[in-house]
Amino acid sequence: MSGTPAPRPPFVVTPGPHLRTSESTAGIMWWVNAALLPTTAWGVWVFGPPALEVILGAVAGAVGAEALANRLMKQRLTVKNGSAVCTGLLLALTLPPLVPWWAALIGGVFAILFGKMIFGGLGYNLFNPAMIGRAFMMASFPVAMTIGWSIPRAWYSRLEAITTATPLGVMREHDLQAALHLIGGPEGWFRLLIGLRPGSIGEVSVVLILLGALVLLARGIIRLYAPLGVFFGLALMTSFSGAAWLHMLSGGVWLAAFFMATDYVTAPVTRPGQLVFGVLIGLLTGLIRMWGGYPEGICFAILIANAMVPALDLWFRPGRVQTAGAPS
Amino acid sequence: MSRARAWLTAALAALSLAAGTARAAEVRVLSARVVAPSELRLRFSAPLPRADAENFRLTHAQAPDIPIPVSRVRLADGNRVVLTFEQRLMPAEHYRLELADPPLAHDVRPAAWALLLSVMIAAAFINNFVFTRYLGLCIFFGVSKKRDTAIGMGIVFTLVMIFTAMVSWSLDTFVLRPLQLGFFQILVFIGVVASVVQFLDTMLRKTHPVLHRKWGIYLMLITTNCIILAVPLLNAQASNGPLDSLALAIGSGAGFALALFLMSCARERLEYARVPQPFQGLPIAFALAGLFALAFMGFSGLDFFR
Repeated sequence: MSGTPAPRPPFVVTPGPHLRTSESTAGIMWWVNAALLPTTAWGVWVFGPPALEVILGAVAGAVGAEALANRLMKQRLTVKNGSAVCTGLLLALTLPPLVPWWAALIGGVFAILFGKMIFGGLGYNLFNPAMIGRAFMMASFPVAMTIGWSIPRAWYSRLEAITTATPLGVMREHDLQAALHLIGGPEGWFRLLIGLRPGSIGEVSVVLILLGALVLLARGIIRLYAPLGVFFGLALMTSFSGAAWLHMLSGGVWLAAFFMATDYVTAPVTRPGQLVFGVLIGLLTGLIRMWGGYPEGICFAILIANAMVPALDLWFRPGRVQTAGAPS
Repeated sequence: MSRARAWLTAALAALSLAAGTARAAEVRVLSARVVAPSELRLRFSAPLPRADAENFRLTHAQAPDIPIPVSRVRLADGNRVVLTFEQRLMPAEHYRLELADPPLAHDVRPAAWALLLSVMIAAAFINNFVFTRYLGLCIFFGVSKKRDTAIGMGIVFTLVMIFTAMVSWSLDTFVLRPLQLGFFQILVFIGVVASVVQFLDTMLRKTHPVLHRKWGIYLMLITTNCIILAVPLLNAQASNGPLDSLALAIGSGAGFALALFLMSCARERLEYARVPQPFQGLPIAFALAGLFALAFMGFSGLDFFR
């Protein structure tokens, strides 16, 4: 009898409660990546190979930095769970298409190292790593980040690219009329919907972003509280400016509302908290767009709202955890 | 008799009517507002007799000899006039408008409360002392470990800031400047901070021992804070008036309290994070403050008079 191993017990005895789910971090992350694919493909089709270079650069930077950090911290390799790919992809989708690929790569490295790994990895970061990467690039490569916009489909006219300005940038420098002229008159809302306008790689097509968001909603991966809050806040802020629909349809609002304000790690836990978080993002975006120093403010709005999240989590706790006495 | 009386009343009525129209014809400026980039919107109490460009002369308050050329005059109903100028006007600045006919002069500047509010917001968010000027870091990192201490510190700090700024402003305005002792500013302000803190400490200990036990510890720390010294110096440098000084003090105190509060919430959450060994403690706090600064970059360039 000595040669045979002890038989494995048929039952695992552990204390309750017992939760079973087929969901895993990796599964969710790869679903998010898949949901981003339509708008990514559209970005590459509209802005041509320069956009593809930026995407590959950012993803390579993010994945490489995560593998390096895993090695340095003597952790298991966490590249396969898809979160680094997601960070790199989200960063690339918020970048202007004519940014040099090496700048996107540096942005991806910074996003992962200082946005996520320095806190111990996925689940501990306070700020959205992709937005940290973008803000870092705004500070480090301000010129490339301000002039790197291209006219849609310009690459296919046998020119390398035709630089231009975004609708929001034109509205800031000139007025609403000039912005309307850029998108092709008052009927331009259709172009804004399908995504034939200058803008960041992945933010231009509202319809395809919505498609991805619907997939995530159907899978139960994201909830609508934060996105609705973002739209409400921005509408409230811009309703007096006379160009509310242009504000709602251009810029990175849709991408940010569905794919960044719903991030599990950097958004509040409870539903009221998520709603307030979203409204805060919307209000700050409108504030920066209309009175601030940048034509598009959603990146900084998300970062500032992220900074508020620990406080929001304290103010809006889940019912059963609430302790006696008012939270301060 | 009755006829003479009727004539008299008629004459009186005509006289008062004439006086009334004369008063109505007297033109006053009811409101004047600069709208970016280069418009001045005016509202008068009565129609203007002349509305050509030569009738208006606008100068900057600091350059009263150089008129800003008017490119277009547009009349609107309700006695409104919109002047367009050939150069940019700054809504936050102070201009002087003079009319040739009728001879009138009017100061064009934003409301005082709007200026004070903008000073306060600028000090709290746009030029937050911790996140954009990197001042006051010793207290910022020392006290932001726990939320309760951070809140206490934030409140005490703001109060002391307001107190010292006002005392320093009066000393600067009524003693140092008249005696031309401006070079003593730093020395005097340090003395003011130290004595104000000592005074508050003693007073609090005698009158409110409970409050002193709770918050007295922070007072001593504040003595050596650089923001507390920077605000009086900035006020003196910009020759701010009493209200501006007060607004700057309130704004920077509130900005520091906000920074301290956000940082303490974040650091309490970091207690559970698996921060790599070399970054534990202060290094991760510094990195976190850097990321906060990156987020606060979003407020740069904020201008409510745009």
